[in-house]
Amino acid sequence: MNKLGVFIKDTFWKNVKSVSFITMLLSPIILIVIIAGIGYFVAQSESDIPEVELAVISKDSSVVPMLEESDGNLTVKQEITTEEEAQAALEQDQISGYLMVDVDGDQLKGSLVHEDLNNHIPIIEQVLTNAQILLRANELNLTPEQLGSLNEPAVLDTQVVSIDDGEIVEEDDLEQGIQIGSAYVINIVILMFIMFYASTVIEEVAGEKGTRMMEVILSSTTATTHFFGKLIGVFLVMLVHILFYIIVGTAAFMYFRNHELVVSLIGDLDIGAILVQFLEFSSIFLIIGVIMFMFIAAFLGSLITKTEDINKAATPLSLIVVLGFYIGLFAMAQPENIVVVISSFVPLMTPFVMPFRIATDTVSSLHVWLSLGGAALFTGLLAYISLIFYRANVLIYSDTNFINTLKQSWALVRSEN
Amino acid sequence: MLEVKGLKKSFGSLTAVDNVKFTIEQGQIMGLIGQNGSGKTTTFRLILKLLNADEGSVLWNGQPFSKKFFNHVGYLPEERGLNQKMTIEHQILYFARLRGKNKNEIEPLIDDWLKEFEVVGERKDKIKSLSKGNQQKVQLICTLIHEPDLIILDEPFSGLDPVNAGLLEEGIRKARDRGASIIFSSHNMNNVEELCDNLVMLKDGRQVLYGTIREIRERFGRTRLFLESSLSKEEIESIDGVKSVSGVEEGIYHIQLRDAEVGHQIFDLATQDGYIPTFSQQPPTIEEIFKQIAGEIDE
Repeated sequence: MNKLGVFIKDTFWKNVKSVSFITMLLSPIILIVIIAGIGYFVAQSESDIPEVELAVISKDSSVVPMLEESDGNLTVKQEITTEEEAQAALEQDQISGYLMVDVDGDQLKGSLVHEDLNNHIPIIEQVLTNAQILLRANELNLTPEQLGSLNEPAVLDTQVVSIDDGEIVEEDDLEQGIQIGSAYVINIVILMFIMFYASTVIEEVAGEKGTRMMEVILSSTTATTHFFGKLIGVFLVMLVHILFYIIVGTAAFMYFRNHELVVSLIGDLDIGAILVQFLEFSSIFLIIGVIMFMFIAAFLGSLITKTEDINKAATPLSLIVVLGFYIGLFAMAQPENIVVVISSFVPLMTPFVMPFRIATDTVSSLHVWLSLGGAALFTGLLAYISLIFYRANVLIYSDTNFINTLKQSWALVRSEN
Repeated sequence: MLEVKGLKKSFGSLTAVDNVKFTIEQGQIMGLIGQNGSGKTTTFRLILKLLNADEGSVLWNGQPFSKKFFNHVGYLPEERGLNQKMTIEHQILYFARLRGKNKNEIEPLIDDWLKEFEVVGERKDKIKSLSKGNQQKVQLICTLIHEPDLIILDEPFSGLDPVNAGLLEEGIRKARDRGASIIFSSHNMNNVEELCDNLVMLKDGRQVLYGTIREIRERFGRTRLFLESSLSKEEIESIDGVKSVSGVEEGIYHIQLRDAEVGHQIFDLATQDGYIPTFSQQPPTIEEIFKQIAGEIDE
């Protein structure tokens, strides 16, 4: 059997079956289900306004029908016509409140005596206002058409644009909203993926070095085979991870596509096209970011002499990742800030910062490609350096610290060439 | 057949291995001895291409040793270790697959090997559930189960009790009998004398001894003499060429000679009255030779 295959297969199955992977895989879904569940119940209880009965003693005849039409949960108890009757009915809990409407010239005055009708007050207020408008329109002898034209709002057309290479490009603000939202999600996803898969790589490499298996392995095959076998194995786990989300996400979208909430949110927008266009870049950044940090992780992992030190190896990596994450968040608020602009071209920061600059349209396509090229080149360089040190690192078992291991390793690298 | 030709390796200003050369035929066992830091592990790593030699070469059956021979190697490094989370079976299969074996070839053999090395544990047991000695035996199985032709064992006896050491010796002999070339390092000179056909001793990276056990011992001359006679300690000490005399009790002596020829003189003297129960003139043991050469470092 191909030895690269042995490493890939072993690494892949070990990790896919691990508790931490399954937790990582399911936690966002569980989280979404919980949040959606809570949201659903809150929405349920809100829409669950109990049916109430109200007595209306009005001198204006249009109020009652308008009220019944506007508030479905409200019934007007028409038998009650006097304040005394209403008061008595309220005392006996037959009604929840009563509304007295007085007309004074063209002025409508309402007073509501009620027991917990707060949810209905805005509608009642609106109905009274409308009734008053009608009243005044009558006084002014306006025809319904005239009234209609008076009520017609002015038109404000909005158009969000972005400047791309000196050209004004039309934008859809909903589209931009989706992009920014996605950038947020991508930033968190990149953070989580990098942290998780980098530490998986560290564990894989440090595990085999720390348990002293490495020397036997390197007498069976080359360091390069081991290095890439481990990385490809972990990478495949990540692809399974992404694929799983794509399948679940697509299935959920298909299922909920015709749900009224989703329809009202996206309207006739082609959300698929927007996401594809956006994810195109983001997924490249995600993959480049993960690969880049996986190489660093393999390098750091090979410096470890004891399995207990795995967390120590992960520290420098976590610091870089967290820094990137925060610059990314900062980029959200101030995409044109010089720190943001510069760090979007720093290979280690690119995956975190660039998606925001793309989302806020503050970067030209050329610059996106430049930063991607830079990140890819840097990743290649990292792979090369990691691999050189990897062979030497795995033979060093000194109990001294990181820096000393690195020094020894460098001496060994030089003696080898 | 493994041929090691003039290996040299420096780390900065330190020369770890200098002009080491030896040959191990098929079915031969070579012992590699030397003090800590004398270059034994580096020599093994150079043979296995874990390190690149500055000078010299390693030939396997006449061809430069390279990764294409990796499947024929069984290597037990000085730094031991297994993946504590794996089962015995998984661990053995993992290493065997890395030596180019199929799962199906190795799986049926595992139980026999576990029995042969008297490992206390089932094949589905986790490594971490085993005692240290049993873990070490599992690692030996990992080193040998794929029937390698070149076996390199770095301090295989360290940490083993006499019973387990005996099992290991048996395992090594079996591998030799099927034609493997074997080299191991050890601090225990008894193991070396009992098992090895040939011996190499390193001192500060240089090869100071090389040959069969017998040759090497003879080279040092028969300078050890066990004598049981009526001669007094003073009488023996007064003979020219006697280096030292230590007596276990009156009449039984352990004599070190400066010159093996003096043995004749002592024999004549001791037997002038006729029968004596013991006169045994021997070359020094490997352990004594080891101590003697190692001691010269300081002088």
